[in-house]
Amino acid sequence: MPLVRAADVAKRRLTIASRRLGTTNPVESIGGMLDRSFDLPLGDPRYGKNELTPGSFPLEHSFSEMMGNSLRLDMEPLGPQASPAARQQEAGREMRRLVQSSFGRPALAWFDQRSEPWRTSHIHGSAKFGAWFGAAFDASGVQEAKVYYELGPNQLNELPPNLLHASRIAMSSLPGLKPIFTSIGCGRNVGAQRVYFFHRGDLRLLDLEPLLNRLGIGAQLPSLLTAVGLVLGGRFTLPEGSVILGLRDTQRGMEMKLDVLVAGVPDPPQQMHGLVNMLLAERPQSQRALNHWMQAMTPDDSPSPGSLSVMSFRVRPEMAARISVYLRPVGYDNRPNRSRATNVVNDPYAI
Amino acid sequence: MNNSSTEPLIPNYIFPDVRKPDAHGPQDLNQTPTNLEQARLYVAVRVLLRDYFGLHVELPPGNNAKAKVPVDPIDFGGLRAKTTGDGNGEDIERIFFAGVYGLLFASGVTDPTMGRRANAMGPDRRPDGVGPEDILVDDQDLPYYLNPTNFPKVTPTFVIATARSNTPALGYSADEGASYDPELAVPTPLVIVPQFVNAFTAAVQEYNASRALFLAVFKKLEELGTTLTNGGKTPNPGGYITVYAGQFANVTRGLLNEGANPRDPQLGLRITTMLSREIGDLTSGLASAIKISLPDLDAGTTTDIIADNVRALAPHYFASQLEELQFFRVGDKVIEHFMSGMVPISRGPGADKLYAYVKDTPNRFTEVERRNFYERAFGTATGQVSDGVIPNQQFQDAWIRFLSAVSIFNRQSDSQLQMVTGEQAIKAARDLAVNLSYHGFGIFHPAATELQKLINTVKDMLSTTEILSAYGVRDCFQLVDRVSTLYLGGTSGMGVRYRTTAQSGARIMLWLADNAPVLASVTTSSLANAEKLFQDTVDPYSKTIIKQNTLRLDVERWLAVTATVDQTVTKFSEPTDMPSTSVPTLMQPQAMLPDQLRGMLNNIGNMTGNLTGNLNGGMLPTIPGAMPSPKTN
Repeated sequence: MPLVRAADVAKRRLTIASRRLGTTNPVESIGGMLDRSFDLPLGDPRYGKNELTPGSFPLEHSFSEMMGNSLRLDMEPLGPQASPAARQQEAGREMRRLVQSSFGRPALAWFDQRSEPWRTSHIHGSAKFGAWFGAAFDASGVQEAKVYYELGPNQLNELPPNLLHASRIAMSSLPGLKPIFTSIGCGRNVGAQRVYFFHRGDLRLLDLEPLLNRLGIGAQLPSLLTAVGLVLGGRFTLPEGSVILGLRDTQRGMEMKLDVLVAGVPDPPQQMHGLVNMLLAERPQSQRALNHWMQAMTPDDSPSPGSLSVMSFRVRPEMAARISVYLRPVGYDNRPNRSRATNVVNDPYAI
Repeated sequence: MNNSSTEPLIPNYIFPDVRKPDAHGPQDLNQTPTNLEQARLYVAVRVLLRDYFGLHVELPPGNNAKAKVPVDPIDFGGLRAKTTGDGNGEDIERIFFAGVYGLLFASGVTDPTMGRRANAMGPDRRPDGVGPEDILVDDQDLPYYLNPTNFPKVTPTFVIATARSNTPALGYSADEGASYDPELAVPTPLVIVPQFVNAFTAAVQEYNASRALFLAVFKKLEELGTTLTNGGKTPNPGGYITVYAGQFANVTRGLLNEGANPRDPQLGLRITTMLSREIGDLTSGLASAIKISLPDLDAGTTTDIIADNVRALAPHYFASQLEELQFFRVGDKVIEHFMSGMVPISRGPGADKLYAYVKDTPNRFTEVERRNFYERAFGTATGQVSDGVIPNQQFQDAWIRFLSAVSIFNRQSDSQLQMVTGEQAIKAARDLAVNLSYHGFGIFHPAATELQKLINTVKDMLSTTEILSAYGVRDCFQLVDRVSTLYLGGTSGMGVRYRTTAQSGARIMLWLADNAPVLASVTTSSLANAEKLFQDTVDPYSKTIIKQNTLRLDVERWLAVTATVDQTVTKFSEPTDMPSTSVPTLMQPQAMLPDQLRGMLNNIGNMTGNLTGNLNGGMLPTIPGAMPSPKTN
């Protein structure tokens, strides 16, 4: 049986998903990078050696309330055998190409200015992954392109002043925070940079209050508690290894994003999807968009689009908590085997 | 002249399968492996034919002619009177020898020990490992270079060891012998085993069964192999007769298989035809008669690594690191200060250099152009975004893998499982060199000279005493650090790092260029030098370094200054397949239309129904309603 390149499967599935969602086909824009990144056969165990989705295929899809009809993806470029330096340069090159062709020269100049510290030929010697690449597509084309650069020691100083200031506030408010990477995203009209922190030790959600107050978003704490508590089944203390905190400086104030790594939460609710639906019931448009997205991302031969990997909650001064859902798509980790194909729907032992 | 014309002409025989003429003389202990293999077979056949079949290998005493079958195969050919081979007692026996030797040679039975090697002499004056049925060849029947007694006695005098040797390898000095290679092994005693004797006996039977045909074939091969010069080199009035023993046997065997008669008047033609099959001119020949001879893939080819291309990229790497240091930007900033009168210097050499730099601005590469070079050569995401620049996407991977392999290769010891073998390190070096070679075509060499000039100019300019005083610094790189931090948003204290990476990185690339022939070769001999290529020479007793390996030093410096952790080095020291490389090429497979445009044109084609014709014929399709047609009006 001939081996199937994972890139071919990814491109086919992205094409189908884009048709269902009514967006442009991502393959037209990033097909080359998909080819270079997923050149190994489908199901190759080496794909598991990645930092984006450890143990799984390094491609992640996400739904965001803010971009409900978009096809969003994040990926680790160049496959599992590449060095962090090569990945950093590849992500930078792809991003620049995409930004210039989709958003024009002013956007490229902005991106170049922001990303210059990470586009040099050097990367700190303890780098683990180098960079990731992300993009969002809507009916008009590329909606957003994003690159995540790994932060080395002392590279926090390379952040723009506002974000650096907010980072220092966060680290003084929550001493367990450790900067790990930064993302630089370009949209059609605006670009933004976000810094991400890993939280060492358990995090009581109420401990976020001083930080939120100092960042000017303290008023959104109740909505954040409500959303997190509901989706996580009443859990208000997040264990070590399950929290990544992001800060972004927007024109409307500082935005905080709380990413909860589902794998790090012991005994997560089995019906998390139902809880998310319950949360979105008060925003029917977002609920419809989520369900539409779930259907679009579900392959024909699978009962679900994949496993939930990250639940993300973001708050801004004028905006209550909004959620994003990240999932690891199904079907990439096992090579299809015709002789053992079974109808999963009819499998009485299927979960 | 008259006297010389009356003397019989003596041809010079060459039997390449017995001994190919080369530079190695009979007293030379450094014979090639082929020579040694053929000599062992020769000796075994000679001894067996002499002792068991009464072959007269020597001429009767008092005869000045050469021995028929001398001890050394070097003397089997050479100047010998040509006789007809009709039973005069001379050629018959030499042809018999050549026939039996050729039959064994053609059958691949070339080792009298059949793979067994005797050890040193045991207590019973027979070598260990020699059985009662084995025949031990006497020393007097061995050529000089196969006789162990002619090899110098081994006396350990000094120690050669490498960094990862725990047990020192003994080096030797020769107490006799002129050209003795310390790496040459003393030959083991020559033993003829029963299996070889069986094969030999079968060959003798085969020869004797068709003796007439063998004689006829030899005569024809003599005729076909006669030339007046030795490959165009040395003329000989009697000519050179080249006979391949293997061909002699195979041609005769082939004729026997076809039922040839030695008295056939067309036998000569049949021999020629069979010889053509044997040589391989006729593909329709018997498969068993065609010798398998794989080509030397290195012969007559230009290698994948073009040293000049690799060498041209070293200055670019050097410049790219200085670019990261903002070296050139600082030069431009100082010029900006100079032009606006902010630098307190006046008439003098400093001002002259600054002014010359300003005036030469149009002739220099701009920063964008330089960064395009770096992107094409090293894949950095800093060049101009355009389809014309094809970045070297594989460089970063190949670079860290090579450095990691060299580093780990030097750190590991024999006491542990080797994480990187010499061949793996050479493979990593080859991958990197090939990658650089592919991307070093075109403008890189001229640009390298230009960049070299630019670096020297800026360094000279920034080292001027007046300028250093004006900025209150002590040297050029302090000035770069200060101006970069104060005016260009740079980070202080990065000078050592980038200067080290520039120097070490460029030297590593120059090392790759210098060693390109070794790295590009796929023959085994080049792989034997991994330790010399990558490692220090260390005295195993005192643990002191006798000779430092500069490559290793540069690699370790680069890794240290970039704070590359051991985990990373270990991870990337493992060999991996190099992905296919995208290189600039003039060969465009076909004119490609963007998918969207293609789809739009196809839609138009569906409407008009003749898109292909329109495109090929150069006519634009008619869009209904776009313009009224004169005919319809």
